[in-house]
Amino acid sequence: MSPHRARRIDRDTAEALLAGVPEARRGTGRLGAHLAAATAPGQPHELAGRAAALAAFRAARLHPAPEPRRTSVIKTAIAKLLTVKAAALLTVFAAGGVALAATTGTLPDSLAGLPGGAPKSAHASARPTPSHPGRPSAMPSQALVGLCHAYLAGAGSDHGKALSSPPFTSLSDAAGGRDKVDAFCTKLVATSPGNASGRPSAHPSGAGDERSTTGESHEPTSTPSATATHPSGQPTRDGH
Amino acid sequence: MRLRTDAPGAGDQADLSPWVHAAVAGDEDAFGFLYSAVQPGLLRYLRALVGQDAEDVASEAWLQIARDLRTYRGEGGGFRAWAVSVARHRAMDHMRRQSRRPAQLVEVALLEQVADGQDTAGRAVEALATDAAIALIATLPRDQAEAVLLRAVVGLDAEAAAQVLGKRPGAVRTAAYRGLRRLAERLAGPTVPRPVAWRRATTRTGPPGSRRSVVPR
Repeated sequence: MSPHRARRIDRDTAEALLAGVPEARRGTGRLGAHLAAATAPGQPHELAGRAAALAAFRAARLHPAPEPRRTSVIKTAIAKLLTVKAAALLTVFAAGGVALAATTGTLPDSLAGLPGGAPKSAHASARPTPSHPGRPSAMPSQALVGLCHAYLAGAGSDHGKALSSPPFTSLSDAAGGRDKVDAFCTKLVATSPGNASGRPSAHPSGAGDERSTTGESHEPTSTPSATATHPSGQPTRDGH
Repeated sequence: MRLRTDAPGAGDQADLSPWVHAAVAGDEDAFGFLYSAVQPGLLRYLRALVGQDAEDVASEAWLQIARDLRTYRGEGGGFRAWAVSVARHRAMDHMRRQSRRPAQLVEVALLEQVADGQDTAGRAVEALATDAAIALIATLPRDQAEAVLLRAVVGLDAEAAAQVLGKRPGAVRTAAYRGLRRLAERLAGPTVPRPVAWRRATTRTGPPGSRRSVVPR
């Protein structure tokens, strides 16, 4: 395409190109092909985070947080946990999703009888499991497992702030108090299905511990990959 | 080059309202459908803003989307616009935190492949072409890049794109048209100009010849 032709893209043509009209794209040579490439159908690697998003949806459904939005607190808590530990969080959510699919709804009694099985908010306990009648007790526990993994991955100074953020209030509810979350999560993670080779239940100097003396200050390294494979297209922090 | 298949393209503007209503009511399958429909365009938009951190920022965004879906009332240009708005805020936060991270270059060979206009075959090559196309759009001035991406790749109409960007629709239209014209100019040359003005990567280097995405200023 010569520069001459570039000047012929008038507003109508531009509007048609932006709207995705195939004829407009065919008629504008390289530019049209370029836009077609940019808007090609979604590829599998671009949907790698689907399981994590669904897990988040389930967790949010079961433990809605109607508090007023204090943006800075949420951003701080979530940003700290997610930005730095995004790989670990997504991995455990993905692991939770896979384990959920594999589970036939039968859980060890220790999980089925969790005191946190009936959340303190009354409306949550009265609501039937959304749209999946075949999996009654597996879902709440699996969501809690995912949250526990995330909590344990954030070992260090984040705990206090994290527990006050909406995604984790359900965890402190289930545990019966913020001071009980540690013990609750340790036990839950150790006994949850689909966690065969996963992270150790006690983590005195785990890879994710920010105070670890090994110098790995902000990156869980080997443990997450032992639990589940990274979804493709999910880069780690310091290069590939 | 026929790229639209049964699966919606990234710029598809089909009405998602039925699935949004179902997801708000708790239908997990509906939420999964929304994710599949919106994520490719959203991810590519983020790619242009934050480069390789696009997946991280996208996952943060979907966590917030999942959490806030209950309060979504259909405002602001539809679900796509709302979702990409959440993602944009996350990206802004991310860029503020990462402001000292150097930008990375796009392999010129990839840009030439796109400029070549060759018909692509095979998923791997398609993925490369898509990434390269997004990367080239990302070289535009920021307002033009965002306007083009929100319109064409995310699939917002002019009003919705304007709301996401917090600008007047006329300004967004102008930015998008200028972006397209500049893209056409860049694709027209016999060789793609080397982006010498970009800051070069210092800390984030991969193996030689590896593809790197661009992080615009």
